[in-house]
Amino acid sequence: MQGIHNAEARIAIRGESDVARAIVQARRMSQAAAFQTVDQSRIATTVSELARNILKYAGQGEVILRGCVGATRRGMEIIAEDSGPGIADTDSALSDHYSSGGTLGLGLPGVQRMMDEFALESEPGAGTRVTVRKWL
Amino acid sequence: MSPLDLAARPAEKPLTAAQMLKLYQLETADLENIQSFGESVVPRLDDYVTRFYDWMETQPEFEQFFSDTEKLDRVQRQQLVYWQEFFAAKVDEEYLDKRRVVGEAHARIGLPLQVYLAAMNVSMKLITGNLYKSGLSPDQYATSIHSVSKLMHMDCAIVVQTFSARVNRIMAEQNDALMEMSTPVTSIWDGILLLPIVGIIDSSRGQDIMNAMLAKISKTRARVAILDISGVAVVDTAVANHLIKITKATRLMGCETTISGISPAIAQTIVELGIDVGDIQTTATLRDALVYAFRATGVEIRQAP
Amino acid sequence: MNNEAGADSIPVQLMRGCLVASIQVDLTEQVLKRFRQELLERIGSARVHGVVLDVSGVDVMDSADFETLKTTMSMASVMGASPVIVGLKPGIVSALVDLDVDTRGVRAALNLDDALEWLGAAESSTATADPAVIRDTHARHP
Ligand SMILES: Nc1ncnc2c1ncn2[C@@H]1O[C@H](COP(=O)(O)OP(=O)(O)O)[C@@H](O)[C@H]1O
Ligand SMILES: [Mg+2]
Repeated sequence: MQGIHNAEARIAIRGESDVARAIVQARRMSQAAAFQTVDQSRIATTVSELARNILKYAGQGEVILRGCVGATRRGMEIIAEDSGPGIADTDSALSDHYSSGGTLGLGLPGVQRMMDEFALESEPGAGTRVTVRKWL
Repeated sequence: MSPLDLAARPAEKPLTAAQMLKLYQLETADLENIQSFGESVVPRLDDYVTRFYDWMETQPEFEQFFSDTEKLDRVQRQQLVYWQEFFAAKVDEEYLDKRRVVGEAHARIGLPLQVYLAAMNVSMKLITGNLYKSGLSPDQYATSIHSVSKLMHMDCAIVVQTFSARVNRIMAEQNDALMEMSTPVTSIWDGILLLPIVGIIDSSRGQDIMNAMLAKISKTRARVAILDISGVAVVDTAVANHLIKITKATRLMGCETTISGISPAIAQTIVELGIDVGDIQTTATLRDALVYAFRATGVEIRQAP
Repeated sequence: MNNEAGADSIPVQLMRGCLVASIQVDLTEQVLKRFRQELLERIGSARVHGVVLDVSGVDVMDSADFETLKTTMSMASVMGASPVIVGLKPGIVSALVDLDVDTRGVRAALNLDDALEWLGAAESSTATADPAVIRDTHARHP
């Protein structure tokens, strides 16, 4: 049954229940991929942060979860993308306690700390895409 | 940056037979090609089934899904019918419904989609290669294969869609169950409240939890509350913020809240997120929280001699 | 109690060595400022070790009102009277928390009895002013 875990999961994010669905799926896939408990937690938390940002700042978007393969290792990749307003100042968005939404402003910087690889692409008016990887 | 075109997906309303035929570009000529191709294949389907299961037995999933012979017999008979219908090529609503039933059946037993698709691929090879013995010209043969593969793609798509619809439905149900967990604030001792939280905390649930706690505090005059989060799926910044606000709120009512059930995994993610728990009382286990609560309310716990 | 009770003045009573203010009126900037002045004067003239602000009669309190009360409490504290706020209603509490008011250092109790009991205990022991310590020094079942 290894195969199904390699399969990619795409979760459209339109409401709170989609966020929950993405979290549950992330938990399952990371568990199936034999990540340690703490890494499962990091992955689920990352998905939660990114999906909630989509909901809060872009209204809707998509979270993609999939296995990934590096030169010497396997891991999991999470892509969160939306065609929302985008982020004008990505440096600020990545710094601790910056929030345009009156919340903690620790989501993106926290995700960056929890994951092994992190990329934020955003263009005002076009959308935002966050791509992260965690290696086994 | 590449364009992030995430076109809104249409609502998942099943297409009609006419729409499906159009989508897969199956014209009357295609269906006729399939029928005449079938004339040579259908009489040899028994042979197909044998060869198919020779392949299937080499798959790791075989044991799990086709263990007993009775089940295997039934599945094989269904498979014969499946291909007979395929080569009858009468694509109407009934045909589509039957394909959906096939998808449901596979999904229900938990057969990986990947195995199903591989099986269809093998079937295609067997049917168009080994089974086909007839005097079509190479051109006619190529045209027929083309028509057969179009219908096959349509069939596969229906199964895949049924599969994912089912998976989504199940997940949605599980999530609803997670979200709708009630918030049973219990007075476990004079002056001590306990609320175990299980599942996923979204903002409306966070609000519910806070309201339930505050109402119970004012009713029971509790001075200590324990919020056990060992069953919470994730503690992200939003959840942490809710927990912080809840402890802040209960304090304003004179009730100190301890958050228990902080696992090593949660402790690490909370700190990596950069959350400042400030002076909130937190413990790893519910037991520690209880000891603290008893001490704070002046209850002495002693081991019976 | 010799309090020349105007329409919107706040009665302050002396109980067990503490001043207890029962706030039952609609909160306005003006009412709160006048109350602060009177309260601090009372602290100055009576020897009290605690001040209780009883807001159980208040149905509406915005963050500015809360900040003003908080400042009054800090001032009382500077004058040597430990301040406790009691009777905040659940609805007010959840609104204040939603508004993200800073509650650090604010000592609260559910009702007047609890507050006086705590102030009495705090007086007899030399308890610190850390709210987290409230529970430890506040044994109901000695
Ligand atoms: N998907 C997104 N679309 C637009 N802006 C975003 C998105 N995600 C994050 N941001 C911006 O980045 C800021 C920081 O995000 P984050 O670190 O998650 O903190 P918070 O969500 O608490 O504000 C947000 O306040 C918002 O301005
Ligand atoms: Mg965020």
